[in-house]
Amino acid sequence: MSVQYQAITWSRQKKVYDVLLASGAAGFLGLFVAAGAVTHPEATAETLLIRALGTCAFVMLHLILCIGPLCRLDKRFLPLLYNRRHMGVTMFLTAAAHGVFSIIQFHSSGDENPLVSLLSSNTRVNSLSAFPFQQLGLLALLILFLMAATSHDFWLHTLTPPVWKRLHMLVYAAYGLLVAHVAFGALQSAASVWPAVLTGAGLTIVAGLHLAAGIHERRRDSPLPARTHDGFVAACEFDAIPEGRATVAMIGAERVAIFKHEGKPYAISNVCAHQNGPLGEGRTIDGCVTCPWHGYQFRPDTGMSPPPFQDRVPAYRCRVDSGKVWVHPQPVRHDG
Amino acid sequence: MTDEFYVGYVPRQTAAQARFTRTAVTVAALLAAGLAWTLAAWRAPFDNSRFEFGVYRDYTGTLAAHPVPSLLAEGQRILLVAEGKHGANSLAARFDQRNVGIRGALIEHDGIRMLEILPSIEPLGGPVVAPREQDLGSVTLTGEIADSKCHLGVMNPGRGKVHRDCAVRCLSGGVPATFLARDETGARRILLLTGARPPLDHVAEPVTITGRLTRWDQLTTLRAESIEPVRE
Ligand code: FES
Repeated sequence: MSVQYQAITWSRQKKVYDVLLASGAAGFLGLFVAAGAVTHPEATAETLLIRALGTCAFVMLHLILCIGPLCRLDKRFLPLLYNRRHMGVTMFLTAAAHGVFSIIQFHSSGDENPLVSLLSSNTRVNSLSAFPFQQLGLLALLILFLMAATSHDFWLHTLTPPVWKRLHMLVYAAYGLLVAHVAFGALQSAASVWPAVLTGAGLTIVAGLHLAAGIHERRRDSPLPARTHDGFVAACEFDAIPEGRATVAMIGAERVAIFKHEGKPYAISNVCAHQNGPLGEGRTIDGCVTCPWHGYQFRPDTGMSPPPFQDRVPAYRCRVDSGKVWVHPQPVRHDG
Repeated sequence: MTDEFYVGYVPRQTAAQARFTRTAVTVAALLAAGLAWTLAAWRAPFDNSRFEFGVYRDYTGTLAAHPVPSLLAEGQRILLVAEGKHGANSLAARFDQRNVGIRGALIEHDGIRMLEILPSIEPLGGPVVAPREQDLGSVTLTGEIADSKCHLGVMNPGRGKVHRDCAVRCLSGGVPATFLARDETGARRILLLTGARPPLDHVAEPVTITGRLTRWDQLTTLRAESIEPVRE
């Protein structure tokens, strides 16, 4: 079984990514603590560390959430996406350190179990100014833990990609909880409005990029009307597809990537079996459609990964008629 | 469309792609550095307080268990608390109105002193010094309740919303409460709240307290008769 996970080894790019990631996080923490100590010499070290860890994790989460839509808008951002899971796990560890230090600082050495204290010392959910923000952070941390713990491809295969993807969509719930955690916590006691303005700007950028990427993709989908012939649907102009590349078209309710490979059309699902990457933005390499996100490969005619891999995406029958590619909306069944 | 295609598992990116990646990473790093510095600098408020963590000093004087544990040493009244989020009430009760030797770490804010004491209190002889007390009358003040230990310096900031849960834990553990209020001149004053433990639900948020002010050596205490949350 393990053979499936050996395809992506610790490549040079992955190593460079990890080194940059680790030094970026360490640099952020160091700079934050140094800036805090210089501008507020009366602040205690624990406070600076807790703030640095929380801020670092929150900034990293913004970066993580922006990389996806940035890649959909411009493929040149793909190197940032390739190893995003390591950034996710680093972000979780940073957030967890923030949580653990906060629990020690605010809840330990008292007359109550620290976890009980965390859940019980503020129950003012009906008040805006006193709203319990720490529990929001705890909830977000639990979600991030679930995601970090299942981030390996083992879990992707065990849980199946749709379930895994749905689980990992919870990152948006975690983000929402963390915005509230910051708003009801740090922002309420900040001395200036600028941290609130920055948090708002972060939220706007994340939402705006997702919106822009959605609009961009919708525009790029082939605009041909759904004309049918023999059950086949007109998908796109054949000549408009560059060799080795694809055009994406809506066929029924599915986004289908129509590739031109060695002068012939092939149609497979646009959704990669790995993590739903956009196969239509990939290209054929060694006769296989190669996903732009992490390089999973699929045969254009069957949608199957080359042996020994067993991943597959739906493949569709298609043909060229009067300059157009016609695709049958019913995926072909390939058994075995 | 350029025909460049990025694949993460090949060892090197193409030159153009590598240039783009370098630019993107540099922009992200500069942005993050700017954020780290600015947010660290903006995140006030801090108090002018201190805690000599791990530095123990010896004090001798007359211990008083009421209204809150304190030691009158060389004319100055020093508040006493235990380690962690605990008050020193039970320890102090055993030595009420007796001369003692005490070791502790100093906590200080705006001239108000407190000791986080070690549990070994040594009874001493000699004449007991009586407190100087003076009734300052009835007042109604608006401010914020905190726990004295954190507020006076163990944490900084040791008050406000973020610190709220910690203050609840400390007050629940018997640490005396402080009331940070503005007097009629608008100046900030730290008063020591005495009497029943304040309602934990209204810690670290605006409340109006009506009560009796007392001068207690160089400290000012407020014995609350009513505590009302200020409506949002
Ligand atoms: S989404 Fe990861 S390889 Fe396609």
